[in-house]
Amino acid sequence: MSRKSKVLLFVVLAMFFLVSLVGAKMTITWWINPWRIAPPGFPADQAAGSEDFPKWISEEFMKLHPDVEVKYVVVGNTEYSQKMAAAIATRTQPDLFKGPIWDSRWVEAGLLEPIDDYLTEEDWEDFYEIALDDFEVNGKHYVFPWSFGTNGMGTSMLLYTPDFEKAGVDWRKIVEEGWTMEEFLEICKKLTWDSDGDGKTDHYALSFGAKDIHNIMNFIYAYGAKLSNEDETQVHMNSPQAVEGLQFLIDLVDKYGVVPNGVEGMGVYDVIGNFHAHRTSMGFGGPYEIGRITRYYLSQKWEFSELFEPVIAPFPHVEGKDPVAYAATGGFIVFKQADKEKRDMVMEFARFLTNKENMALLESLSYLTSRKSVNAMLYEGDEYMKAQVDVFGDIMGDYGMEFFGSQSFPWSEMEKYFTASLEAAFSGTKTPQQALDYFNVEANKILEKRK
Amino acid sequence: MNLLKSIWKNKAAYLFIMPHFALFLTFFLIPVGWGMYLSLFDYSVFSQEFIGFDNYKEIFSDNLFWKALGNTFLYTFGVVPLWLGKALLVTVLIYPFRKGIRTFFKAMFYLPHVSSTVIIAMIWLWVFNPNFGLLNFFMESVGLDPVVWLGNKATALPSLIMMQVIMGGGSTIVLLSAAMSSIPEYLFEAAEIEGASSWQIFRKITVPLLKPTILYSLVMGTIANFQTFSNIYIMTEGGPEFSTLTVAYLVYETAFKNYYLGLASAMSMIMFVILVALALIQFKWLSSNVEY
Repeated sequence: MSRKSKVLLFVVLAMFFLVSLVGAKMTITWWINPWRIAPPGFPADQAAGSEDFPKWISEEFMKLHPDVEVKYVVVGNTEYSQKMAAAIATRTQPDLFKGPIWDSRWVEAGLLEPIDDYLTEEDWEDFYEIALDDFEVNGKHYVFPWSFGTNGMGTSMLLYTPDFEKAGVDWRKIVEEGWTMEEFLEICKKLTWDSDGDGKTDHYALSFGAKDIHNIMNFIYAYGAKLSNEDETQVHMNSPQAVEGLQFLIDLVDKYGVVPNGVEGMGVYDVIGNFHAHRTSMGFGGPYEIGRITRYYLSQKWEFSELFEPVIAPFPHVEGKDPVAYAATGGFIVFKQADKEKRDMVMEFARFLTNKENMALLESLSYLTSRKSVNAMLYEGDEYMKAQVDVFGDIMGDYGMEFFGSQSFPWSEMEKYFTASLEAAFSGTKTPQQALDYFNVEANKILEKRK
Repeated sequence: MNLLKSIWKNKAAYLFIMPHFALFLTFFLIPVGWGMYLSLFDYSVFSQEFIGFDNYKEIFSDNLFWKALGNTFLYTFGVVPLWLGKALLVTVLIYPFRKGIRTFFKAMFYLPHVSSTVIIAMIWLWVFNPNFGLLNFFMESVGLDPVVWLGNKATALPSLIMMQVIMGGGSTIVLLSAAMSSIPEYLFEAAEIEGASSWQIFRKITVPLLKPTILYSLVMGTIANFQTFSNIYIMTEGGPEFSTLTVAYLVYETAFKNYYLGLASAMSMIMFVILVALALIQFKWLSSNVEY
C-alpha cells in the first residue's frame, strides 16, 4: 500500500470514528415486570401482552428525544430478584426499573438516586402521601410513584353476587356497611352447599392457601395483632390476638367446613382458580383481580362459561374494631448515574412514564394510580368499574396499613418461617399458639442477626 | 522443561483439546474457584467483607441447613434406586422385542426428559391438587379419604419422589439398552443351555455386564438429584414446614431472595464436597474392569 493510500485510509477511518461519536445516542435501559397494559389504540377485543406497553412507551419517548435510545427488558416476577441481584453484583443494573422488589439497603449502599429534586410542586401535591412515603429513606424519596395498591390481595374481597342472591344474602349491605366476623361466619355457612346432591360439600364460601399470606394476615391483623413493637426491634406475632385470628381461620376449615381442606398445600393461584371456577363465592383482591377475570376470559386461559362481574367489599372486622386493608404502592426507581446529563435524561424518562397521560393507561389493567388527579378521571364511561374503584379507594384510604413492617424490616427473610407456621397450623401439626411461637422465635433470631 | 517439550511435541492434540478446555475453564473451573473465594466473604450486593470461615460456622449451626441436607439425602436416596431399578426393569423387559418396538418404548420413556420440567411440574400440581386433583379423584373413587399430598409434611417429599421416579429414567433406559445390546448374545445362549433361570441370567450375566453403565447412571443420577431445584421451586417452595426444602433451594433462597451471596456460596461448596465424596464412594464400591 502506498503512503498516499495509507494516509487516505487513516483519514477515512478517523472521520468514520468521529461521525460515529457525534451520532452516538445516549442509551437508557429499563426493566419492568410483566404489566399487561394496553397502549393507546390497542384492539379492545384482545388481551394485551407484557411487551406491548414497554415497547410502545419506549418508542414514544424516543420520538420526543431522537438522540436517546431506550431499551426495555421485561423480567418475570419470579426471577426478578435473582436477576437484579446478579445485575447489581456485576454492576450491570438497568438505569431504572419497576419491579416486585425493593430493598432499602440499596439506598444505604449508595446504589439509588433520590428523586426529590425532580418532582414539581404539582407532583408533590398530586401524588398520594403514602405513595411517596412508602419509599422514603432518611428524608429522601426514591421512587416515582405509579401504581396505587397492589392486586388487592389482603386489601379487599370479591363477592360473586349471584351466589349471594341465591343464598338470600344482601351483598349491597356488606359493600356499604361492612360486616363483623360473626356476620361473615353466618354468611359463609349460607354460601356452602352440595351442588350435585351426592351428600358431599362441593361449593364453599371461600378458600385460603397457606402460601397466600396477605389474605390470612388480614384476618390476623383484624383481631388486633401486631407484627412487632414500635421500633421494630422485637417481633410480637404470637400475641393472644394473633392466635385468636389464626384460630378463627382454622375453625372456618375444620369446625364450620366453609373453607375447603388443604389450605396447607395451596397458594394464591389455587385460591384465585377456585373463585374463577365458581367453586367458591368469595375471592380476594381489588380492581386488578376483576381485570384478571376479563383478561383470562379474553385469552381463554380459564374455561369460563361466562364473563362475570364480582363486587368489591371490605374484609370482615371484629365487633368494635375497624377492618384492615393491605396498602402498598409501586413505581419507578432510578439507579445511581455517574453522568449528570444521563441522570437528567433518565429522570426525564421516569417523569414521562409517570405523567398524568401515561399513568392513566393503568386503567386498562384495572389499577388505581398514585396520582389523585388521574384517579378522579378513571372509569368515567364504566359505571360498574367506577363503583368498584370507588369502594376500593375508600377501603385503602380508610383502613390501609403496611402489613410487613417498614422498608428496612427484614420481612423477606422471615416470610418462609411465617408460611411454615401457617402450614403447621392448618395441617394440625402445631396449635396456632405453637405455630406462631415458632415463627416468633425464628423471626427474632433474624432481627438479632441484623443488629 | 520436559512438560513444555511434551506439550510442543503433542501440540496438535492440545490444540484440539483447547476449545473445550477454554469453555470448561470459563464456565466451570473459574466459577467454582470464585465460589470458594466468595464463601469466605460476607458478600452481598451491599457489602464485601472477608470473614474467613464464619459462613461455614453459621451454616453448621443453622437447623434449617441440616433439615435441608437431610431432605436432600432422603430425596436422592429415595429417587435414585427406584429410578435406576425402573430403568433396569424396563430395559430388560423391552430387550427381547424387535428393534422397532424397542425404539418406540425408548422414545416414549425418553419423552419426559426432553419436556420442560416447568410444564411437568405444573401438570403434577394439578394431579396432586387436594380438592380437584386426579390422584384424589382416584382415591375417592375407591372409597379412600382425599390426601393433601403436597400440604402434608408426611406425604410431600414422598409425592415428589414418586413423581420424579415416574417421570425420570428415560436417558438411563437409552444408555442401558445400548449397553445391553453390546453384551455378546452367546453368553445368554450358553447360560440357557446350562439351564440357568431368567432370574439367574439377569443376576449373574446382565447386571454384572451392565455394571459400568449402572455406575455411570448412579453417579450422574445422584449428582442430578442431589441438586434438585425446579420441582421444589414450582411445586412446594420447600414446604410444608420445610419438609421438601433441599440444599439447592436453600442456596437459591439465600442468594437471590436474601442476597447473602457469600453464605450461599459456602452452602454450594459444602454440597460440592458431599457430591465428590458420594461419587468417590460409588466408584470405590461399584467400579470393576469388565471384559467380554
